[in-house]
Amino acid sequence: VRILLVDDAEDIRRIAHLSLEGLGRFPTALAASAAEALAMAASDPPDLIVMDVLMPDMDGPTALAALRRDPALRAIPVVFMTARAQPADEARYLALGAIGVIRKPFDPMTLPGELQRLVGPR
Amino acid sequence: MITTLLIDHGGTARDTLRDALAMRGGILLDATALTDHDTPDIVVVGDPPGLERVRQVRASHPRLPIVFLAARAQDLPVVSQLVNELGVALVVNQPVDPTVFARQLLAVVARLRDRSPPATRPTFAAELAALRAAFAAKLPDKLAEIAAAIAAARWNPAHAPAARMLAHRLSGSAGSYGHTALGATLEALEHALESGAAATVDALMETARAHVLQVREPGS
Repeated sequence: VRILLVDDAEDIRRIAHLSLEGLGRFPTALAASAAEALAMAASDPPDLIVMDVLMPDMDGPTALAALRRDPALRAIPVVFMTARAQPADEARYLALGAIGVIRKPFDPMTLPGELQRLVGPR
Repeated sequence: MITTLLIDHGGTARDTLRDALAMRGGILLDATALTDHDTPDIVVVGDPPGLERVRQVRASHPRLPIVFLAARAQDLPVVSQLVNELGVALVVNQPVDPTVFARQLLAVVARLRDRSPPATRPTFAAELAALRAAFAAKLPDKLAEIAAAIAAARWNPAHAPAARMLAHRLSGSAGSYGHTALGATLEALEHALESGAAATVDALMETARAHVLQVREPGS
């Protein structure tokens, strides 16, 4: 599973990257904004996008909507990784088309397993 | 030639250890800390300065073999933390026999060289420990950045979203780096900034500062 991780917080990108590549053995590309992620996904579509919700300029749900409008990118599964994960929030993200939600803070020791569970066996 | 850097504020028998290493083709250097320019083959961290210095060495040198020279027998959780989280190769209790200790140091270097070619990446645990140590070192600056943003927002409310975003960002990061209490405090701060409760904001900032102090100086 090739992952594109999108988060505006550098510290989050670092620890998630280490967790996903070092522990999960998932090749992981990083984007610091939703706009950057959309460009990266268009040029080299990943198998999964893990995306923050609250980001400056463009938030996660807006980026997800943009992905879903693009025929070449609409099939890429998206998982939101966010501190805003009350049941009502989760329901909204799933209704938008996300396949799951990872709550921040996350545990770097279990993050790859949680994502694998959401993606299912491949 | 094996270069050993000794960081020890205690009473280790430096001279006899230096002689014991020299007899086996090694050299011993003394230091109060490890700088980015130092390139020893192995570092011995005494106690004092202890665990905090191990963290600093690991943060700046993720792949360097570290031996912890404990002032006394360590509890199992401490040994586990040293080995599993900080990637310490060996924990030795004082007092040591300099000749035996010199042999142990050279054996650690030889063992680690045999096990991994030079380009091998450090273990996940060591990388995670280094990342956590580096994050902890940045916490005072990050909190100061939030304090400045809050002050700016009080002067001009247009800056309020920036202060909330900084608190939000650090909240998610702190918890993910294992600082759960700090993360929860910053999450509460983010909400307090939203509601504009100045007294609550100030109280939460004080709590956050106390958490950061605790992270930087455990036991304080």
